[in-house]
Amino acid sequence: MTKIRNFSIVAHIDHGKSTLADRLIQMTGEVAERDFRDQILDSMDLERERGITIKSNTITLPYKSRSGEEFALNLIDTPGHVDFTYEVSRALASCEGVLLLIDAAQGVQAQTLAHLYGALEQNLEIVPVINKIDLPAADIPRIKEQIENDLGLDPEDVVCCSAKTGEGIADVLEAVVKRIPPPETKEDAPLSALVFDANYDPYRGTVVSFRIFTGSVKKGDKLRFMWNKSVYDVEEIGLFRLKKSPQPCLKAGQVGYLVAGIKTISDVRIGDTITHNNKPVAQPLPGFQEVKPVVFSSVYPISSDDYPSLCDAIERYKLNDAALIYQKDSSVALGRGFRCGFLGLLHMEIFQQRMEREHDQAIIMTVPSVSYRFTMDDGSEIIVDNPAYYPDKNHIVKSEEPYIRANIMVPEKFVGAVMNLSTERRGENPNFGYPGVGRVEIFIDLPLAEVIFDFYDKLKSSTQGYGSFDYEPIGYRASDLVKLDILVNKEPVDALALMVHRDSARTRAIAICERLKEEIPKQMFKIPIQGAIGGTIIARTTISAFRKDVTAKCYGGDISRKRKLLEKQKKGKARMKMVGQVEVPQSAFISVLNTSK
Amino acid sequence: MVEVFISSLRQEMMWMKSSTHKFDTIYIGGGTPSCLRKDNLQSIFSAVYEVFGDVLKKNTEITMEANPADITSKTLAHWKALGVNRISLGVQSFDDNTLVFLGRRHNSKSALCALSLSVHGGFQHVSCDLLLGLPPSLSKENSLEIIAKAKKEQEIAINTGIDHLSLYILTASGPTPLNRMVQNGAVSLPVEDFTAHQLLQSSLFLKSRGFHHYEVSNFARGVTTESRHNMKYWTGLPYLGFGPGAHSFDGSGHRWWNLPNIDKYIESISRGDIPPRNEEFLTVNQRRTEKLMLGLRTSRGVSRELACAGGAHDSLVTELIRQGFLFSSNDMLIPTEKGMLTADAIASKLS
Ligand SMILES: Nc1nc2c(ncn2[C@@H]2O[C@H](COP(=O)(O)OP(=O)(O)O)[C@@H](O)[C@H]2O)c(=O)[nH]1
Repeated sequence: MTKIRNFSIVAHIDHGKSTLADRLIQMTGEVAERDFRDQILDSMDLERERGITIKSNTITLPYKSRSGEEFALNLIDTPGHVDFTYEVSRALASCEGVLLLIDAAQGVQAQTLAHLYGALEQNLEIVPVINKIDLPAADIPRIKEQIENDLGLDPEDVVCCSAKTGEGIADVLEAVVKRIPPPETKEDAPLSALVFDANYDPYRGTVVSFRIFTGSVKKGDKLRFMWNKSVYDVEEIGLFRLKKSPQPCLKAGQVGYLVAGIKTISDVRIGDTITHNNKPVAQPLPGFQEVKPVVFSSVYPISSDDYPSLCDAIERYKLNDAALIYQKDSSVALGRGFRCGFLGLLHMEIFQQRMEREHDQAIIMTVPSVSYRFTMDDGSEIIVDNPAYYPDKNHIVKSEEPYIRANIMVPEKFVGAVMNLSTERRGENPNFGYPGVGRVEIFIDLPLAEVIFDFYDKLKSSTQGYGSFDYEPIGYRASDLVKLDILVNKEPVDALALMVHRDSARTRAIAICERLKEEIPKQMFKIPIQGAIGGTIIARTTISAFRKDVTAKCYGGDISRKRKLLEKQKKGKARMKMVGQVEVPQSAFISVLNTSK
Repeated sequence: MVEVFISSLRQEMMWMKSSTHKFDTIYIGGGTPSCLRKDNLQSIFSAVYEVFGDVLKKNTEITMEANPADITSKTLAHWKALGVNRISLGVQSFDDNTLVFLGRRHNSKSALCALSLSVHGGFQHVSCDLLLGLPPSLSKENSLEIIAKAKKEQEIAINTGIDHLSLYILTASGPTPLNRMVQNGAVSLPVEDFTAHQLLQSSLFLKSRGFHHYEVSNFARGVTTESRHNMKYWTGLPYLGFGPGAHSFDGSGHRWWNLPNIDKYIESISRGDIPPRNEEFLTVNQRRTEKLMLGLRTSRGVSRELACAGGAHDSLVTELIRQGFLFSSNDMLIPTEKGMLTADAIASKLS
């Protein structure tokens, strides 16, 4: 009987997780050399381009160990970004161990630590692997020291490899079977299996990835999804080889997929427990959470005529992304659209790019917002993620905004830069750790709203790329919030309203007013552009009026041409959005919404 | 060659005669008809009188567009004998450098002379074209001086006794040498705001001299001196145009125009075909757009009914009045000076 190992590779971004996965697949002979495509696990183009795994894929690798034993190695891939922490935790919950991959030149980074903690929380066996030992800058002794000091792991246990050249990969595989414990195999107990991923297949519906902890499952079984309280008949179960490989039965310890006529991906929740409907386990597996969006933005078609097409596209998109939530929204300036909730900025960016590229939508997205909490004078609490629903300020007793605790790791000389940036972004309670010589770990509480506002880019540029960053939510904190209205010709433009901290309101308002001034063409009347809190104007620019718009000569032979010109201009104007009497070109919205991100 | 062309013209007039009722203006223009030989001009006039004599009203305004370089007392006497009673002179400027830059055949002295001769030659109306918005690089003056200089030129012109003035703004467009120079940066034209200011200042000045601003580019001493012919274009009355490139309009919704190629023009007429032309039939909306676009150029304005479009534009019209672009007089909306200068934008908003 083949033995099983269930494991994941975790790493700071770019430390070589995908490359190593590919190499393992290749070494175990799962793919012939000629079929080998780089980074098979990252199947979506967008992922390939960005170099991050968004949607995880899992694969079972057949492996004959040095001692001649047959193994089935289940490599469970995990999304590699903070937006998807919960998904990562469910994938890890399906493993007995992880390969903690560390770049031989860069060493331990913020996400290395975050992943270490994540793995420790699940009591996983941790195999530290130093990758990229082929690099000239590789410094194995130094990294081993970091592994010992920063991570508290035994440097004796370290495996060194190069996913690029293949050196040491055999040792990595051997470490997987020797060091990572086999799964327990209680096949006689009631079925208890963890859903750690789901994918949408247009022909078969939702394909659920799961790990069986106890019991077994076979085709035709009636399964209950315990959190979801739904029941399905298994149409097919199987293993993830390079292609899905149907099996009559899967047993405790195994990782596989199931197809059960589940229509949409939103019908399945990551972290749910699957059991038999007629012989359920007493308790679902621990750790289930509802995924909650933290970043919100409205999406509108650039041309209002395209709203029906946007409706279709967002529905199709949703088939593949259960984490997206959306509801109808409308704006006076931009027409009908949707308010969307995302797991984070990256998630939002992925949404935007896929809507544009894969679904051919020309869209505008509003400035991302977090969800604020207001306590009202009647004692009620409201959560608001859309400036349009900002409550009556006269009745607000307390406003709060979500905070995160950032964990930033930088070489010592950048501590000043990071602290400047964090203070600018209203950081509080800094704490410093000194995990190794010349390296500082900074913990600091930051408003999430400040983090989604280009914090990561700023961090990267102010630390010459050395700063690494991770965060966890730490709940709401009181904050002096205001709603910033942008008024064009004295009329508020709903799509441009923002909820911001009072201290940043003026800077933001000025930036937006300036940008609108650049983008809105001169009009017949002088047009004031203002930023206002309540009735108070805090920023203003003016679009001056043009004084002349008429051709000097217009005699018999000019009339037809002139009329056609006017008709053409009129058509161009139809594509502009009217705010009061002002024609605001679409580009003005795009420009404001993009730069103030 | 010229003879063939003139006989083609005559032929075209004969064909078109049936589409006209009585009329009271004739305009000989486009290019420089003033350089035609005496006998050629004579033939053209004979053709007109021969074909249209019975539908010509008394008091017909007969305008001749002329180049100052072609003006002598002899030519003037000849034109007068032919019936011409209005002369429009393309003076452009009284500055010799500017005239050289513009590639004109005349200089300031001959321009002045042409104006005086015309005024004293017994023509009812004499008009002078001047240019505004010349490249600032042509003169070393600052903007105040440029404006003062423009007024000075207008002063010179009206002191000759003319009763009509057209002020055009130099514009660079299309494949002209000027446009090429502007594109490659050899010459720069003043910004629109400045030319607007210049035109407003000129208008104020001319008003003080008894000239009223009755169309974006046109000023007349008294209503009866306005160009009756041009007014027809702006008020949507019918007109017939003959010759290559000439436009015609039936006054309701049909417009047609000959293609500009002169050889093809002659050739098809000699074959017995109407010259190659394009035409359009205006929709109700297009007609409305034209009425707005043209009416707002003039001191006649447009009817409130037309502008408001059954109430759709009421608030906009109110705002335009409040902001001093239009004023209301009986049931007409009349552009102010500021309104005339933005006539296209207003028309676009109201159309
Ligand atoms: N020199 C060298 N480069 C590597 C090695 N492994 C990965 N890389 C490169 O490092 C970059 C990031 O690798 P990738 O697998 O995408 O990282 P991931 O973000 O952790 O999935 C890519 O350019 C890889 O080609 C290695 O062993 N040696």
